[in-house]
Amino acid sequence: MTHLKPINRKAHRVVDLTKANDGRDVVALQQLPAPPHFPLGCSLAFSPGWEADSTGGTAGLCQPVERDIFDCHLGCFWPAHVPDQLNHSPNWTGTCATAQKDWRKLDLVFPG
Amino acid sequence: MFALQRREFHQFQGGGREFLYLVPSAAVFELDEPGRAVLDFLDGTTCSEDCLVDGLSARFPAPLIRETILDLLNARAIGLEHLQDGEGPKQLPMMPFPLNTLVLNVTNQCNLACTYCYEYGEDKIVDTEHGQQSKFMSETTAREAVDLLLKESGRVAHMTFFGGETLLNFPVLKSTIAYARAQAAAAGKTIDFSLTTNATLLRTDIIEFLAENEIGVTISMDGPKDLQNKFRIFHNGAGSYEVVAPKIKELLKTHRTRPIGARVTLTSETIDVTRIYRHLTEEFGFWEVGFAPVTTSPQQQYAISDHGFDRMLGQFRELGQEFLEHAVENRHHGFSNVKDTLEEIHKGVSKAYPCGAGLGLLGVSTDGDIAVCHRFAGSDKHKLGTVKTGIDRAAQADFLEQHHIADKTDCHTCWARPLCSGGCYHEAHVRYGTTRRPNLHYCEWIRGWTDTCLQIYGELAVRNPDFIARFDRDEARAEAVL
Amino acid sequence: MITRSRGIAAAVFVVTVPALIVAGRAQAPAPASAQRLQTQGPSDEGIPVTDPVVVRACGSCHTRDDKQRMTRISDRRATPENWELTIRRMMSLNNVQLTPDVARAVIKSLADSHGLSPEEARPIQFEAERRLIDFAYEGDKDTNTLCSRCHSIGRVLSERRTRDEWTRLIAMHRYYYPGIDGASGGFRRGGPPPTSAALAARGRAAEQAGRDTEDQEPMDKARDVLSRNFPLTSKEWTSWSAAMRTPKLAGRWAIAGYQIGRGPLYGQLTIADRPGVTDGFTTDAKFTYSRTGETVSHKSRAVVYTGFQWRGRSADTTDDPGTWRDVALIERNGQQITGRWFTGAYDETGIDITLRRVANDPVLSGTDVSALKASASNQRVRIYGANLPATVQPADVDFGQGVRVSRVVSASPDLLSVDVEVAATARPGPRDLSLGGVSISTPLMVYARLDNIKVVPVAGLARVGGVRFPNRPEQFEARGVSYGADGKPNTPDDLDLGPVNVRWNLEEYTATFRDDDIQFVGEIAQSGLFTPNVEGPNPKRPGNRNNIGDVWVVATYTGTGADAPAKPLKARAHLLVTVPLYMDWASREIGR
Repeated sequence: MTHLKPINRKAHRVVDLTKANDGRDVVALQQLPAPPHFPLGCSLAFSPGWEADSTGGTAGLCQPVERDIFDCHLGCFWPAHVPDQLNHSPNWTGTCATAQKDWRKLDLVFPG
Repeated sequence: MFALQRREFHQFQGGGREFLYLVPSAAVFELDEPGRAVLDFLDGTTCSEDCLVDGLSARFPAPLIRETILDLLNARAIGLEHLQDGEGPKQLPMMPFPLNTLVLNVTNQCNLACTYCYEYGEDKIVDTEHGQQSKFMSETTAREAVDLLLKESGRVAHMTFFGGETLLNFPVLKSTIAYARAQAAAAGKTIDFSLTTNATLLRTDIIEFLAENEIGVTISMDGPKDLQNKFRIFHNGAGSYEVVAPKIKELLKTHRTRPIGARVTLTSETIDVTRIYRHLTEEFGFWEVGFAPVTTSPQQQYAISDHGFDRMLGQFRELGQEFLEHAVENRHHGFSNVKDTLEEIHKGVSKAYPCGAGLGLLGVSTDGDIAVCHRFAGSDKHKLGTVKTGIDRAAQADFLEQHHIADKTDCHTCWARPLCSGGCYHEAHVRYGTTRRPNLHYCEWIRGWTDTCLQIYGELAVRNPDFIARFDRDEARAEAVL
Repeated sequence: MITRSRGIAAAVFVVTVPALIVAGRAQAPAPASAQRLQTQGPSDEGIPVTDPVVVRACGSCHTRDDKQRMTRISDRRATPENWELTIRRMMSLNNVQLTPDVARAVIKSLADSHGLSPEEARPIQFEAERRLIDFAYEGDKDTNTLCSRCHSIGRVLSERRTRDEWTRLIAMHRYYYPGIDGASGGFRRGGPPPTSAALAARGRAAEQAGRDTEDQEPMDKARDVLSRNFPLTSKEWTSWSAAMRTPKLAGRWAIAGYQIGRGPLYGQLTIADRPGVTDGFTTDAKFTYSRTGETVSHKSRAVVYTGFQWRGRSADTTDDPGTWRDVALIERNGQQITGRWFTGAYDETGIDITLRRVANDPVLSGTDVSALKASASNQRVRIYGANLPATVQPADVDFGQGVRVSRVVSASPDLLSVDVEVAATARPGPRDLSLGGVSISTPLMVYARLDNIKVVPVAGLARVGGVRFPNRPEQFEARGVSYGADGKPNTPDDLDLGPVNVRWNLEEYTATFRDDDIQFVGEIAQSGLFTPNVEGPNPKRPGNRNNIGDVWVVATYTGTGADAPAKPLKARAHLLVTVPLYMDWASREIGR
C-alpha cells in the first residue's frame, strides 16, 4: 500500500489483509475474478451446500454438519452424499435421537 | 477491460492533507496526489484502468497510476462496476453476549422537577408516580442484580447507579457496593462503579464514601446559574444552582480518585455550548463535560429547532477546535463528546447497533425488571427478563434481530452509518413511537458533527500523532490489568 | 490437539449391505411375482443381448423381442462401473435378487457387449480412475452445470443412450428424487410443474410455446444435448465391437510411474493369464521410488472389460482399505497400458502408471531427475528401463541439443547411470531421450534458472474422519517453475521443473470474521501430507462446529547450493477440509 497511508486501526487491518492476499491482485486486474472452486463431485446444491458453500468455503455450511442430519438431506439436497432415507437406507438415523450427540451411530452406506 | 467506479467513502481534509473515511469498513487512510486524482477522475463516472491511465497520463506515469488503482481497489475505495460489494451480511452477535454494564435504577423518585426530564416530563414512558413500580429498589433486588451481572459478565464488570435521583437511595447503594465487591472477589472478577446525580444531596460523608470507593461520578448540570435555573428546578419552581454549587465544589476538591464529569442537557434555551463549558471547567473544575441535546418530541417548547441545531453545531465546532488546539500540544481538554468520537474513529468501529443497549449494557428497574437500557427501565414493552429469572434470551434475540442496521434501509446510503447506526433507541421512541426507526431528524446534525470529528482526527494525525497513539496505549494498559 | 486414530483398521465401520447374497439361490429370481415393464419395446437401433446369463438374470422384467433386443438394456452402452451402478440399483430399488457371481457375470457381459470404445472412454477415464481433477463437459455449459449438481459429470458421460433412453433417465431422476425439480436439483426453472388446474388457467398454448422456444427447461435442454452428442450408435463403437478381443498381455512390462509427494517410480511387472477366468490376468510387480530408493512389491488380479478396460485388485475383499485397485486403459496396439493404481478410503492415494511391454528391444521408462540446469556439468541422471544394452558409450545416450553425456557411471539391463553436462546455450524445455534405437518423450526439463515454485494440487480437498468414518488426507507437492525466456510468469514458455524440497506450513484462509479454521482442521507433515482432524461436532470449537474449514497450504523453498534463491520462494495452494461422505459409490465388484 504505497499510495494510501493507514491512519486508524481499521486501516491497518485492511493493509494486513491485503498483504496476506498479496500476489494475487496483479492477476486480479487482468482477468475476471476467479469463480469459487468446487472439487469434482461436490454437491452444487447450496441450501446450504454439503462439502462447500456457494463461495467454495465452509463458512456457510450447517455448523456442525450433524445439524443437517435431521433436516436438509431429507429434502434430497445431496442424494449422492447423504442417504436420502427415501430410496436408500430408510432407517439410517434410526438409532440417532440427536445427531449432534449420536452421530457415531450412523453408518457408512454402500448404496445398492 | 472492466470499468471501475467509486465505492462508498467520505473524503475530508485535516492538517492540509486529504483523507478517506471508507464505508462501511470505517478505515481511515491518508490519500496522496495520484490517489486524489484517480478518485476525482471517477467522480460521477466509470472508466477502466486503461482509461484512467490515459486520462491522467499528463500528470502521472502509467505504472504509478496502476499502482494507485491497485491500492484503491484493495482498500475498496473503488471497485469493479460489474461486481458490486453489496451490503454486508446481517450478522447477529454470538450469544450469550457477555454483559459489560448494568445500570441500576435504584429509585425513580427525584427531588427536582426538571422540566425536560424524560422520566417525569410529558414524554415519559413509564408513569412512576401513579404506576405499579416500586419507588425504591430494595436491597434484595439490588443484590440479585449484582449476582446477575457477575454471572453474565466477562472478567471486568461495570455497575452504574441511576435514578430518579440516585442519592435518594444511598443506603442501598452503599450496601450494594460492599456486597458487589465481595462477590466479585469471590468470582475472580473485577467490578467498577459509577453513578449519576443532580448533586443536591451530596453530603460530606457521601462525598468521602465516593472518594474512598473510587466511584465514578457524573453530575447532571446545565451550566451557569441562569442556564441551570431555567429547567433544573425544584418542585416549587426555585432554581437549584445555589444549592448544588457549593456541594459540587466540595466534591471536586475532595474526590480525586476518579475523573468527575458533568453531563449537560442542551435545549432551545440552553444552547450556548462554549459558555457552559467555560463555566463548568473553569468555575468549577470539572475534568470533562459531555453535552447532549434534549430527548423530546418536537412540539415541546424546549425542543431544539433546526435553526437551533445549526447554532449548536457551530458551537460544537468552535469548542471542538479548542479541543484540537489543546490536543496538538498534548494538553487535556474536557470536551468529552470529541474525545469519545475520536476514540471510535481511531478504532474504526463499524456498528451494527447504535449502542450497547440490549447487548452489553442492560438497565434494571426498581422492581428488578431488566430493560434494554436505563431509559426504558420499568417499561413492560421493553422488558428483557428479571434479575430473579435472568435475561430473557428469546426477547433479547428478538430485540437484536429487529434493530440491526441491515434493516434500517434509510441509513444505507449514509456515510456516517458505521458510527451512528441509526442513533439512540429512546430518542427514536420518543420521536416516532418505536425504537426501530433511525433518528432521521438528527441526520444532518450527525453527519455535520462526525465530519468535524473526522477533520479533527485527521489534523491530529498530521500534527500530533502521539495523541492518537494514546488511545492504543490506554487500551493496552487497561487490557494488561485483565 | 488432534486425536489420531490408529489408522482405519481401528475404527469400526458398520456397513449397510443389501441382500447381495441369497442363500441357495444360484438361479434366476422367481418370475411369478416379477413385474413386467410397461414400456414400449426396444428401439430399432438397439443392440441385441445374446448372453443367456444376462437374459436369465434380467429377462423377467426386461422383455426380449424377436431380434434378441431387450427393453432398456439394448438401448444403452456404458462403462463397467456404470453397469455396476445400474445393477446395484436394480437390486436396491427394484427388488432384484442376484448372487454376487451372477451379478459379476452380468456386469462383465454387458460391459463387453454394450460398452464404450476406447475413444469414447478415454476422455472420462478419470471417473473410473477416481481422480479428483477439474473437469467440465465443454460441449454445453448448462448441461454440465445441471448434471454435476449432485454427482460428477463423468458419470453421465460414461454411457450412451438413445433419445428415448436419455428421456427415461431424466424421468427416473425425477421419480426417485422428489425435490429435483426445485431448488436442489434445478431440473425445472420454476420448480415443480403447475397443477393441471393452473395449467388450464394459463392456457396450454403458453406452455407449449415455452417448450418450443429457446426458453427450455434445463432438463429438456440436457436431454437434447445428451441425445445429440452421446447417441447409442457410433462409428467408434461399431468398429471397436468388431475388432474387440481378449488382449494378449502375458509377459514382461516396464513400469514408469509417478506418485505425488513421493516422485517417480520405476520397475518391472509380469502379467500372466488367469486360468478359469475369462479375460482374467494376474500381475506381479516390483518397483522403486527413485528419490528414496524404497522398493515395493505389488500383486494384483485383474479382469479386462470391453477388450481394453483393465480392472485389477490387490485383494479380493471389498472392505479392506489397504486394498489397491488398478484402473487402466490398454492401448489398441497392446504395447502400452496407462492408468492409475490407487488406495485409501476415498481412493485419494494414487500412482499414475504407464506400462510398456518388454520384448527384445530396449524399453525406456524415464529418469529419476526431472530437470537439468544449463551451464552445469556432472549432473547425475539415472535412466530406467528394460533390456538396456549391456555396453553403452556416452554418445549412445542422446538427450538432444546442448546436453552431452560425459560419462557412463554404470550400466545394467534395468538401470543406466550417466553424468551429464549441459551447455549454456542449451535450449530450455523438455527433452526426448533416445538410446539403442528407442526414443521416449520425457518431462526432463533443461532450464536456465529456477524462478519460483508452485504447489499442487492448487485446490486440495481433505475430509475429516477417523472415529466413525474414514478420513481423506491430501498429499501436496511443491514443484519448481522456470519463467522461460520471457521471464514472465503464467506465460506459455514457463517450464515445470519437477518436485523440490520445501518446508510446509498452514496459513489461515480468511473467509469470515475471526476465521479460526487453522486451529482445528488438521496438520501438515514435512512430507507434504495433510492429515485432517476427526469428524463429529467439536465441543472445543465455538458453536460446537466440526473440524472443517479452509486454509492455505504454504511451501517455502530455500534451496541448496547453486539453486538457492536470493530470498526464500513461497507458493501456496488452497485446501478445503470438509465433511465426510456418508455414501460410498465406488465399485465393489469390478475386477473380481
